[in-house]
Amino acid sequence: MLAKELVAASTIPLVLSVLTEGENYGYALIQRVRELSGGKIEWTEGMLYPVLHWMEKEELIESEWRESETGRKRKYYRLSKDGRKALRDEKQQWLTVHETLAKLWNLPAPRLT
Amino acid sequence: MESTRTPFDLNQAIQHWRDQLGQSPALCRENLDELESHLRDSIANLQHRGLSADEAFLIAARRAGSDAALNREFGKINAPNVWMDRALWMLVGVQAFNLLLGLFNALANGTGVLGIKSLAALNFTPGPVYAGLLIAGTNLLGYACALLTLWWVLSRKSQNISDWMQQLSTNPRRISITMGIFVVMVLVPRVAQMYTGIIWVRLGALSGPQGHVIMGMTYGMAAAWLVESAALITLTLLLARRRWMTKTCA
Repeated sequence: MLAKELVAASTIPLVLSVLTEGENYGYALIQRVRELSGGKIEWTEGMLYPVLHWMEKEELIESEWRESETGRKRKYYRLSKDGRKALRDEKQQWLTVHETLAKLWNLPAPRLT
Repeated sequence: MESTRTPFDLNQAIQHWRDQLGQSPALCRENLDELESHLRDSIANLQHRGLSADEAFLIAARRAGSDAALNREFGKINAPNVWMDRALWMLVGVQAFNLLLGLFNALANGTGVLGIKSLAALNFTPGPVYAGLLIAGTNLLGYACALLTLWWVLSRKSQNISDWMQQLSTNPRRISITMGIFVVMVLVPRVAQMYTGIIWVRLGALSGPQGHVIMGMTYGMAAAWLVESAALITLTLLLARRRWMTKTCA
């Protein structure tokens, strides 16, 4: 389990990164992160939505209500141009932390692709 | 073995969950729509994995987060709504106080010779000092009575108010009726108070330039009061409509 502060700090880069795979809705975003982290990143699910709305206000993402295959309406989010730029910055910062820690712990350096 | 439990109604449970969350000004209609959509996805997934409807609902609701936590987090992005809600309650408070004050003042004023103030005005008291003291006393008494009544209602009847508010917020028709009663309750005492003021001046049967000035002041004050009341009521109604009926996002 991740520390609360780390969960909070990583939410935005995680959302931005999942959305590079294509547009998605809140529930599926949460499922995707749970799956990729092997269940180690556990969000209080409802808390994701205020973050998504904040990101939308900051124009990092865009949203649209659409009918899903089940016939119910869902709000779909996709990456904006600013969002892609923000993700590049985030990536740089997270990798810097990662590389530094990896060196200190004598781990192989991360791949920078 | 026969089951004694009442069958679980998933839609009703979801509606109840949504209504409960919707009590807070921090969540607007779109937020509730999205959370409901999330909850339904989550329930469908859990049911798919073999859980019963009520088990799936309980787990999905728990994973979504507690009301308090959701209110807090949504309150951060919907701060304008939270503040408008506070403004609404301030307006309601001001008008409730005005209403009570109006009632007690009306009691003190009376409509004619019965009221204490009228007695003072009609020179039944030994002199202007006594008349002034009497007026000040009755005005302060009016304030004290209004404050005490408000205090009593808030300290003793808060549970009833909460229960009533909860029923109210999920029923648009009841909201409209309450708003209507509110308007009448605020306006009627104001108009009555204005009217007694005018009668009072007329009883004094003042004539000449001074009489005209006093009449003019009374009517002017009455008109300003009316406009002020109308503006306050309109603002309160607009905020109440936004809060309980349209639930617009900021």
